[in-house]
Amino acid sequence: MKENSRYLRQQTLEQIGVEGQKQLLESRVLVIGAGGLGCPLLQILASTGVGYLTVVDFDRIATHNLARQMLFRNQDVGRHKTEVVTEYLKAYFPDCKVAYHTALFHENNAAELIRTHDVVVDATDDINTRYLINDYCVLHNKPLVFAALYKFEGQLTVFNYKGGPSLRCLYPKKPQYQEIPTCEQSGMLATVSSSLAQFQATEVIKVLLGLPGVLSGTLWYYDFLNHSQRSIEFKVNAAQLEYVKNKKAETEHKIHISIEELGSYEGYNWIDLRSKEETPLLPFEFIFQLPISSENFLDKLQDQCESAKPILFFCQSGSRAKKAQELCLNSGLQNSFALLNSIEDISTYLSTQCQ
Amino acid sequence: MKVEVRFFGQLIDKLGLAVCQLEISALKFEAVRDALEQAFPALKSMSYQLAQNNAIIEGETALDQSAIDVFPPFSGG
Repeated sequence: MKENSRYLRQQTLEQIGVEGQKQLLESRVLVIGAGGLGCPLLQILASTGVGYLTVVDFDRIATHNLARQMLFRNQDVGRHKTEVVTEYLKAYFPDCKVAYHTALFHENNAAELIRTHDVVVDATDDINTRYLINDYCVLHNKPLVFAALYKFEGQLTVFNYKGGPSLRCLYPKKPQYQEIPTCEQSGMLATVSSSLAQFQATEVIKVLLGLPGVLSGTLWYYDFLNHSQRSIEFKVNAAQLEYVKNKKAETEHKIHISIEELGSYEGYNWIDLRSKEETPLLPFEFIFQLPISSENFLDKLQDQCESAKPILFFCQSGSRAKKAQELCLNSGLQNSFALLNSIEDISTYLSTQCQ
Repeated sequence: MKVEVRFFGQLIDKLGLAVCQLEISALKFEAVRDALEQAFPALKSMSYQLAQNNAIIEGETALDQSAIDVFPPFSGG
């Protein structure tokens, strides 16, 4: 390989060397999420000389992202994160070939994206997406570098590395939608997300180079407020891996739901897709009527909905609900479900729940 | 006997405390989990893992009287 002085200092490390650098330049890493974790992580991986990066994110840049997603400038507000990240990385790191995918990571694109990379990075902020990523990494036997935070606390581990445990081995019980507060509700500080991202990126490099000490089977926990930390060991749960491999997990990644699975009715933005003439009427003040044929349906939907709660579409039989849910998915609007029960069952359910 | 229980992440906010003393009937995983869920019924429906001496504890794990850590999954990023 031609000597590249750009990477001279890291090549001097015996753990990397010229060969290791060559390996990095030939590596393919999939980064899902270009937010608080994704931005610093993408920057450092590109600067280290990872040769191929693919970034997946559906979201557009908002002003409240700027304080911690430091690849974005004021004038980028409103643009897709993927596009701006790609422009930045290409300008600063010419060795890095960047591809992007402006979409929600979901069942339809998961297999193709994961299959074509050496290492997968979970830098998302949604627990359902995290389980989905995990399951596809198990199915396609790809190492998954996972980081997640809550306020000043961070968790970091590597799943599915050389036969090691997965997310479901650590947490077999998938949390319910409202169980974990979103960053929007709990808040987030740039120093915490970017510090954690640096540790996450280091694990990516270790995995790519086969270095010892990869955090497989160990959940590293750090509290940035009081500097307490833990390295918690956990093992493979064969039943959980079988559950995923036998495709039983697929039903969990669903976008269709029934009233039995709702939990509390208060945890949703209820959207009635029927027109005003359709009966029975559901006289509950928390239900917003928005016929699917409305002009600017998605804009009106977003104006109406509390973003902390998932959207729940229903109609007479569920078919319009499915259609609306698909519209959301295709436009990157996360956390929506189609309620597939009949209107009579929904009416009975709500009458009982709201007494 | 009593063991110290330490909560992490959103559990501190949800349960309103970071540490407590828990009376358990035996040095067994089930005894700890049952006492914990009886003291904090909100945990019953939640996802969490118990750890002692930096290892996740499960059905057959031999416990001692060291503190128990209760870790929920995080998802922020």
